[in-house]
Amino acid sequence: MKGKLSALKFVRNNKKQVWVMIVALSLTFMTMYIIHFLFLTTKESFKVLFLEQPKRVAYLEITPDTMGVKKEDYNLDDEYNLAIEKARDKMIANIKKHKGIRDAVFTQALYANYQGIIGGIGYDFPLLSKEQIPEFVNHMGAELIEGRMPEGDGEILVDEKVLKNKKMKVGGYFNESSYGHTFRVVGVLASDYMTCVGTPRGYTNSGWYIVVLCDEANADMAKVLKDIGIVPTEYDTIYDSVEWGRKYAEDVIEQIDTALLAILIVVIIFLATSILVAYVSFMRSRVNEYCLYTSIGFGRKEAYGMIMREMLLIFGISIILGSVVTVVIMITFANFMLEPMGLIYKYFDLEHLIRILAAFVAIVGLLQIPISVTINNIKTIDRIEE
Amino acid sequence: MFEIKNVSMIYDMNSDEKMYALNGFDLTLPNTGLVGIIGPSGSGKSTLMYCMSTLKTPTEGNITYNGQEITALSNRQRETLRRNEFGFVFQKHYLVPYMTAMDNVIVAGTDNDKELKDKAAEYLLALGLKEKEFNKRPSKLSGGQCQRVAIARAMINNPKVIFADEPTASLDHENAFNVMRILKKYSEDRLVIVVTHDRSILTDVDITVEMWDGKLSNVK
Repeated sequence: MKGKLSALKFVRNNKKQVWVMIVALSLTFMTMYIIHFLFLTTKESFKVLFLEQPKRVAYLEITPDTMGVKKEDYNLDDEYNLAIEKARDKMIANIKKHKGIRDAVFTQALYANYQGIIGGIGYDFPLLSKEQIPEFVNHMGAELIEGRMPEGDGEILVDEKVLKNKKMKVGGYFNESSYGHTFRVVGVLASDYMTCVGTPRGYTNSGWYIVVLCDEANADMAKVLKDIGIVPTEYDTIYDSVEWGRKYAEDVIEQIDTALLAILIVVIIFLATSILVAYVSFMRSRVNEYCLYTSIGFGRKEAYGMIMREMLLIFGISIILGSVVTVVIMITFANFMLEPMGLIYKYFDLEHLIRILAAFVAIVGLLQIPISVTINNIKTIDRIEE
Repeated sequence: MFEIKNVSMIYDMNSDEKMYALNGFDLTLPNTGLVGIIGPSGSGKSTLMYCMSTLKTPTEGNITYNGQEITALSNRQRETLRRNEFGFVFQKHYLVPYMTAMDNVIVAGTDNDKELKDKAAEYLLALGLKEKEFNKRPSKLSGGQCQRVAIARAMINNPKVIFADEPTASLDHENAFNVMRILKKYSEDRLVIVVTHDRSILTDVDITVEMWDGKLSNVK
C-alpha cells in the first residue's frame, strides 16, 4: 500500500546541509588521492632510475684484492698499478664474454641529480669516448631528438626529462655549480631509461667504474662476476639492478609509503571524527522524525534503511564529485608542475583508490554506532507524550 | 470493529502502589462513525487510544480489531497494522521540520505519486490551507495550520480507523468545527476516534465515550 521512506526528501529539502557534507567528503577524497598522486609521481619517476635503468647498465668498482692482486706481492707501486690494470682488463674481457653482456668499459662517471616532488636522488652516468657513445645510446634504446652527438671533450647528451628537471637547455652547462663550464649539453635524448652520456674532460669527482652494458636477464652483476670466477666482497661497489632495487625498496618505497600511510591515517581520523560528531548531532535533531515514522507504522528497519540510503546517496555523490575534482586537479598539476619538472606521473592507481574507498566504507561502518544508538532509542509518540 | 474486554493498563508495575491508567475497561465500537472519547486529564483516554492503536500493549485484557486479537500481535505485525489500517493525529503535530506541508502529508506515501499529491492537495484545501502554503515548511505555518497538515497526513492513505488525540487543541473555533466536519464526513464509511476534553466539539459525534479514572463512566 505505502512505499518505503524516501531518502530523497531529506536530500532535496536540506540542500545546504547535504552540500556541506558532500563538499567536505569530496574534498577529503580529493586530498587523499592528490597526496598519493604526488607521492606516486616521485615513486614513478625514481622507479626509472632505480629499477629500469639498472636493467641496461651497471657500474662496478672492484677492489684489487677481489681481482686477485695483493699489494704485499709487489715492491713498487708502478708494478702494483700495472698488475691492477692487467687484472681489470682481464676481468673486463671476461665480463664481455658473458652471456647477455653487450660491452664493458672502464671509464669515468659524472654525477647527476634528479629532483622529485618529495626528495631527490643522485645517480651516475658514463663519460665515454665519442666513438663509444652511439653504441651506448643504441643500447639504452635512446633517440637523439634535439642537438647533435658529442664530438669534442666535455660534451653531454641529456635525457629530455632530466633536462626539464634541471631546467636546462641545449647549450647550457651541466652541473654548472660543481663543474663550471666543463660539461656542455649538446643534445637531448628521448629514452625510457632517462639516459645521459657524455665525453670526459679532466677528472670528475664521481669516480671511475667498469660500466657494463647488460640485458635484463643478466643485470645481476654479483652473479656475472661469480660466473667469471670473481667473488665480490663488502669492499667492492656494485651498482646493479639488485643494489638499486634494494635501495628503491628501502629509500623510496618504505619511506614514501610510511609517510603516505601516516598522512592517510591522519586524514581518515580527522574525517571520521568530524563526520562522527556531525552525525551524532544530525541524528539527535531527527529523533522526533524517526519516532513519527515508527508510530505511523514504519518499523525501525525502514527508518534504518532510509538513513542508510540517505548516507549512501551523500557518500556516492561525494565520491563522484570528488573524482571529477580530483581528475581536474591532477590534470592541472600534471600540465603546470609535473611536466615542466620532467617527472613521470600516473593518474590512476587502483590499489590506492580501493584504499580510499575502504576508508570511506570504514567511516560508514563507524557511523553505524550513532545510527544504531538512535535506532535503538526510537520511541513511539505515545511514549514521548507521556 | 473494536472489542475491548477487561483491559487494564498499569504503570509502575514494580512499585508498591500500582497506577491504573485503565482499569477493567470494556467497550465495543462499530466499523464506521465518529466516536468521541471524553474525560478529564488523567482519565486514561489517551492510554485507551494508544492501546487500541497498538502503540501500547495493555497489562491485562484483550482488544480485538476486526476479529483479530491485536494485543497478541508481534511488533512487526503491529507496525503493519498501523501502517495499513490506521491513521494518527497526535496532540502535537509532529511534522518533519525540513519538509514542506505537502511532503509532510505524503511522507508515508509513495514517492512522486501524482494521485497521492492530488489527494493531499484536496485534503489540505478542505482543511483550510491555501495552495501557496503547500510548499511552506512547518516553521512558516501557524500552529493551527500545522495541526491541519497533520490531520491531512492521517487521512492520506484512507485508513480504516483514524485516531485523533486532541486534534482541535491548537485551532480556533471556526477551524475546530471545520476539522470536525471533515472528520465527520470521513467517518461516514470509516471509524474516527477523537480523544478530547473539549465537549463542545463533540456535538456531531455518533458515540460519546466518557471516562473517569481509567474506567468507562458513560457511553451515549
